[in-house]
Amino acid sequence: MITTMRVLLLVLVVAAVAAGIWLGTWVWDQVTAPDEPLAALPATTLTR
Amino acid sequence: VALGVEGMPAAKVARKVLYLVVGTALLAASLTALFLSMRAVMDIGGSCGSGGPYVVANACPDGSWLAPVGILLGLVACGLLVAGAFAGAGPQPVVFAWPALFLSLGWNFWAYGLGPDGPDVGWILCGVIFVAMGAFPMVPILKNLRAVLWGGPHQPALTVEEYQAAKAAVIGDGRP
Repeated sequence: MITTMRVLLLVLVVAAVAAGIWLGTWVWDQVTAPDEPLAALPATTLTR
Repeated sequence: VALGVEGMPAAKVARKVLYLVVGTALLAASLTALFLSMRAVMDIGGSCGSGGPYVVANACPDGSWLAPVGILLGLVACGLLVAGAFAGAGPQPVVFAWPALFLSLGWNFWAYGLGPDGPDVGWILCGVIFVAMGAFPMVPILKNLRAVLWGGPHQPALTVEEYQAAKAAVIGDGRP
C-alpha cells in the first residue's frame, strides 16, 4: 500500500515535470508568435 | 506511517498531492519560460530595455517579460511544493529547484559562451559560476537520492502497548 502510494506520487511528479516543460514551451510559443500579417486576413475584414 | 499521513484527514492528503503536482508543473513551466526568455535576450547581446523616457538601444524581444514572471512563479511553485511535501516520505521535488535553476541558466551561458562567434569569456565566467552554484547542492542530493525521490524506510507507529513496554524498559515503573 505504501509502496503503491510512493510509486504513484513519483509517477505524478515525473508527469508534472513533463507537463510543465510542455506548458512553458507552449506559453513561450504563444507569446513570441509573429503577428498575423494583414494580407492573411479575410477580405471582408479589410473592407470594413 | 504511510507517507506521514497517519491521522491526517483525507481532504488534507488530497490537497497536499494537488499542491505537489501543481507545484512541480508550475516550477517546470516557470523554469522553461525563464530559460527560453534568457536565450532571447542573449541573442541580442544579453541586455535590453523597454519603456521610460529614454531612447532604448536594445529593445527587449517578445517574451522577455517572461523572465521576471518566471522567477516569481517559480517562488510560488516552491511554496506549493513545501506545502505539499509529505514528511519523510514520497518525492521532494522542491530540493531540485535551486540546481535546476542554476544548471539550466548555466547551460545557456556555456552555450552562448562557446557559440559560433567564438569563445566569450564573460559568458563562460558566468557559466562557471552558475554551474558551480547549481552543482554544489547536487552532491548531497545525489548522496540521498533515494530519500529525496522515495522517502525513508517505512516505520510503523508504536501501539499503546509497545509504547508502554518501551517506556517501562527505559525508566522502569516510575518508582524511585
